[in-house]
Amino acid sequence: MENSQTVTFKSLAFYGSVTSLAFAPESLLLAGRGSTLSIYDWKTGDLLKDVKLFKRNKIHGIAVGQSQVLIWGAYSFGFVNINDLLKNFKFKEFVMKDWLMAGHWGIDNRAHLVTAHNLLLTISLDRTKLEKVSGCGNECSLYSAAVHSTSTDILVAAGTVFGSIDVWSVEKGEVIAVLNGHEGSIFNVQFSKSGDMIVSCSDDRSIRLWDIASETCLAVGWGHMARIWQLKFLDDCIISTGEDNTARVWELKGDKLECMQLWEGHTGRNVWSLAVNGADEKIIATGGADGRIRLWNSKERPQFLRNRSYKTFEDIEKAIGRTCGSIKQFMAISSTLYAFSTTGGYILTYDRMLDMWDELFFHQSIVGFSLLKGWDHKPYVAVGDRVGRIYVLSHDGMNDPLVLDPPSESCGKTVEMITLTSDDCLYLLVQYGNSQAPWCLFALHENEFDTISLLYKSTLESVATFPFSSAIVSSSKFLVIGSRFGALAMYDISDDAEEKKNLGVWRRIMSEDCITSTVVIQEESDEIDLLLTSRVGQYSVCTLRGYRAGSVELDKLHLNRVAKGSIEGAMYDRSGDLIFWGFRNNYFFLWNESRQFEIMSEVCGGSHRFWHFSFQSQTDFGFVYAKSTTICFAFSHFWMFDSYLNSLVQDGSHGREIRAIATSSTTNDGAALLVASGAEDTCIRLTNVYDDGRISNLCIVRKHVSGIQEIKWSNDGRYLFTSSAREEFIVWRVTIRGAAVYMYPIASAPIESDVPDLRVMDFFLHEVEVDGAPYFFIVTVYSDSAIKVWMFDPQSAKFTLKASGRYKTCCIFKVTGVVYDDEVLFFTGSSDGYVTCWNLQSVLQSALEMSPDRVPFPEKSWTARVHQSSIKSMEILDSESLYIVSGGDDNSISITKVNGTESASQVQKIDAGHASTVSSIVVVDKETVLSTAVDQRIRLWKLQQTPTSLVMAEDEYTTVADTGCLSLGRIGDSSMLIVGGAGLAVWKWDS
Amino acid sequence: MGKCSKDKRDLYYRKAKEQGWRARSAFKLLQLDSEFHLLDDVERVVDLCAAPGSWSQVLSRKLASKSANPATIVSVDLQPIAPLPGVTTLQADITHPSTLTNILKLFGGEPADFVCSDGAPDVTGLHDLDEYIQGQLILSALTLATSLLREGGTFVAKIFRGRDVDLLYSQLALLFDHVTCAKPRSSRASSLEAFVVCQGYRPRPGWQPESLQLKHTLVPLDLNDASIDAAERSVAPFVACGDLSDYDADATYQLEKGVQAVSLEPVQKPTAPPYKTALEKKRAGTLR
Repeated sequence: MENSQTVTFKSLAFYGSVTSLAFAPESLLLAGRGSTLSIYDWKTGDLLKDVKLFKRNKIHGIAVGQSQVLIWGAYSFGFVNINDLLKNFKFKEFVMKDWLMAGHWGIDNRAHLVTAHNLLLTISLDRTKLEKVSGCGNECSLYSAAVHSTSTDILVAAGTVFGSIDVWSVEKGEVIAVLNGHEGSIFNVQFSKSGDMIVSCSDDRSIRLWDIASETCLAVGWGHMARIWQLKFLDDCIISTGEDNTARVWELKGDKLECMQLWEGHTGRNVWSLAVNGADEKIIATGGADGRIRLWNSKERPQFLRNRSYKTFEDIEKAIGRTCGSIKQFMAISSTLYAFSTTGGYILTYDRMLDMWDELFFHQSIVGFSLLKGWDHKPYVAVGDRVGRIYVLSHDGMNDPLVLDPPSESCGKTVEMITLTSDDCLYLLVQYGNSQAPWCLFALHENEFDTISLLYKSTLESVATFPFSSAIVSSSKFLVIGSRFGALAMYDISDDAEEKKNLGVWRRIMSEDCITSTVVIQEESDEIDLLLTSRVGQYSVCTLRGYRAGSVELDKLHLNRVAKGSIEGAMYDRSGDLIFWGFRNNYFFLWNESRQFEIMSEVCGGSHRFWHFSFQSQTDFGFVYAKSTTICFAFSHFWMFDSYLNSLVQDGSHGREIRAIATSSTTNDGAALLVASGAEDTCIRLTNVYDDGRISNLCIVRKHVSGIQEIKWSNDGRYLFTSSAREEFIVWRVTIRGAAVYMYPIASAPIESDVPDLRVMDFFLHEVEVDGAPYFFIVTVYSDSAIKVWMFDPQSAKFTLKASGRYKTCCIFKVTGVVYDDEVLFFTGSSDGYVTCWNLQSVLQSALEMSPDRVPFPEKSWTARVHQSSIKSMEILDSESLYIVSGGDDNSISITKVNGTESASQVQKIDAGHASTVSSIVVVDKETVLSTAVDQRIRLWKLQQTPTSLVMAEDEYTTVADTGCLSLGRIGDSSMLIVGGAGLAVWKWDS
Repeated sequence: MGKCSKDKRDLYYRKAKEQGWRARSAFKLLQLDSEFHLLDDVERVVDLCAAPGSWSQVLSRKLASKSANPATIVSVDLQPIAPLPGVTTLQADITHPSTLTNILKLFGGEPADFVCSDGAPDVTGLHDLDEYIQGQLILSALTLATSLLREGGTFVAKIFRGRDVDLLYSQLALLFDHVTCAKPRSSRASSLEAFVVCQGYRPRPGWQPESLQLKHTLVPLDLNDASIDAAERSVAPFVACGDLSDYDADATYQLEKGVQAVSLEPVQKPTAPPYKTALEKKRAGTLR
């Protein structure tokens, strides 16, 4: 096999479960990611080194000793000198006959390991020998174990599958305490530092604290919504992580363990690993099935709002020295200076650094009613009164207020005021109580010494039922206003014309809900990209174009929603990350949408209150809110990180099994592939994959309500098609704008059944052109044996059902197709092991004539049994003849020769193609096929003629368990292979 | 949602309730039997990890009710099993030596013809650990089976077809003439589950499953001898079981109108799960 010599596979990276974590000296954080040890500097968040230690096994545990690190996982273990961690060290993998549950450093610097059958292995001081095997006479199965050393003895706590914790002494060789109380398997057990207490968790979802000597349970903690995987004992608290994707901090209160903090920082399911920094116990690291590593501060929730102060109305009146009524609204003049309006007609300022209150302004017309706004971090305050007059005050009260009168006396009160900033001036956009009153725009000029003057005043052509909610001015001075009913309006304010004409109104951009913020993403010649957010938690990216020519069009580029809660505001931070803030239940949160994590949250009682949030930088932000008669000031304080980005040490991918991966023919970054993936978490992700294995997440969209089955791109990469259960089949328009990639769901196939389990298992896309316009001719196959043929018009985003039929009653797993002798044939692969051929020509003909009518579903052309049971993967190999290569649940790979619609014959069946279900097959070229299976092997096959057969040329092991999908791509001269399953792996191969 | 939606989702689940089986897994044994004739001419049968008892139920219906020469059936589990006609249930740990003695006592000292195990641990999601624990369960079942089976007897056990399944096949092939990996149609293609059907037990003097365990390791052991991964691997032939006309576990079936609305009560309520208290607290809203 000459070919095998020239093909080389190389595994570059794995993004899956972080199965172990440990802190090491010099701010190092060690992480087990698959069989690879990753070494980070947790203070900078830099990945310093990745080194594959075990051949096949995953790293399940890391214990840092005095001079060495003990690393174990499954049957394997080995040692690394701490001083060598960042050098090119040689690692020796030792393999035991049994699973290793725990590792431990004794006080004599000996290393110990506990097996899954309750034996303690002792390794010699020179690490060359297994010195001793100790037991307690009961070799029962364990799910967890812990070891504690004293100067005279070694204690083993064994977490059994039967719900008891057996504590035994190595010296005595017998059990000294049995802790009974849990139900179900013990998933974790830990000794306290002194060794007299134990904390444990089990399948019963409780945490229990035990006194060993008296064999009694001291306290029980409930809270985790699913199973608990990890525990750590700290001096004054206990940390746990679990299947419910949370980490929790527990404190002992009487006979209860109370959950004091709850951290949600991972996506998907399962926080597998947990580590506590030895030097400073406040710092905790967690690792999840999503491949992420997060840092936390055990002493604080929220993690970042550390500076907190409270002022009651009473405190304020005492400080001012007079009765001024209750506080209404507030705004930030700077990050330390705040302005407040009161019901008594006063405007007050508060300097939180000096803790000093000042009276800035009083007017009879703002007694009982006022509207207070400011330009964030500008030294002015705008106050609207009940007759439509606006006072613009300077922060120190040194200058007379600038008074802005309403256009007429019948305008009514100032009901909405939006402050805007441009390069050269400040704007105030005003709506008055009388709906007949014009909308006003005041342009203000900033002079020296913090004084301000009116540049001009103009009116805007108003729009019916359009209460302002947010607005933005672009750099070329186009004004875009959002309404409380989800509409958008645009004006040209580049000149000082007295009346600004409306350039367009667009209703229901996302929904009829309030547009809470408008942000300009970029502006180029005659196009503005805008980010819009809504109170129901949706956000959208739109392009407005053609406004210079006077006729504006709005294109929707992106539509998505946050996982939960509302969005009240948005911005892009210094790194270009999209940041949202909003409310969820009873708290306020700050969320990094680009990297999918909560930066901070503050329990404030919910959204119904006055509040102000200011975001200056990644290290400087503050949330001020009113809670009954108290004003709370909460500010960022980065005592452990340079910015919140450092709390995400490692980013990852889906936190659930990846079911489909597809690489686009185009990309937003010439150095990377654009890859779409779909998982059990129901999300679609777009990711850049680089030729060194790095990945960078572009966006995550949530629209499907069930786990993703299949994903495919159009040939040009402009459309993405996704399918799942509940008959969901969605077409996304994908737009590349610079480095950003946007996805907009333009259409969903009509749903005809109410059976929630009805899955669109797979689909076949055939692109056609009618009068120069592109159309998609689509075959969707279903779990109830149905087959539907659609004509999809991307311009009008309309599906037309052209034909529908049924195979039998069994599930159709796969569909693919080909143009053969100018006719379109498609093939289904089903759970009965048959490949069936169908001729679509008559349906296509009718579709191309643009007939809206359904046509009869074609008869089967032929059907051939090529597998014993389900066909799980199937591709067309168009070589010297036309072949179908299929992989089955029966472990076999089959090649079927297709003689058009006439007949088919199986030419080869590789019975043991894999050791288990062949889950994915990819045709690389006319003579090369890749396959993968649940046995975690990736095999490369070469097609040989006479007789026609596939011959295995490469056979590699992948860390991705539940291996289910493959996708190929090319970056320059490198062929890339992306593997999905329980995690995602990036491979490179050269041929 | 709730009961109704699961009825719709899984036809085998519904069929099991209609036909009075304690769990849908009854169909798996029925389909394995139709392919391999496992239950022809058997007199002494052991069902390991039997709770809630659907396989025992199949054994009971097929073997205990035979008018001539009804078979002796013993079902073992840590959990209690509700009584079944013609079945002796033992609440016992299969790894405990007394269990073997007790079963043999019930067989009057005669060896068994057929030993089966449909047991599986609660999967954690860590695939390698789950496979290991399942492997241990099979090993425990096999240990007991090798002490119980007659020469030529049959052993059937549930497996997960993951990364180390080939190692397991190699070990089983040492003890049986034919080792087949079988997938009944009632087992979903999307699940890793399959069954090893081991036929023609060939006792090997000196074979001890414990030899796989560390406690017999002679110490000191030079770690250089603990080399990495040289174990032999093989792939067992695969057989799909059940007729193609049988229902398909992966398919979605449209039930006739009317049938859909009727929700069936389970035949046997599930044994109390360990997280019962947590569930009660969740329902009461006290879990947070």
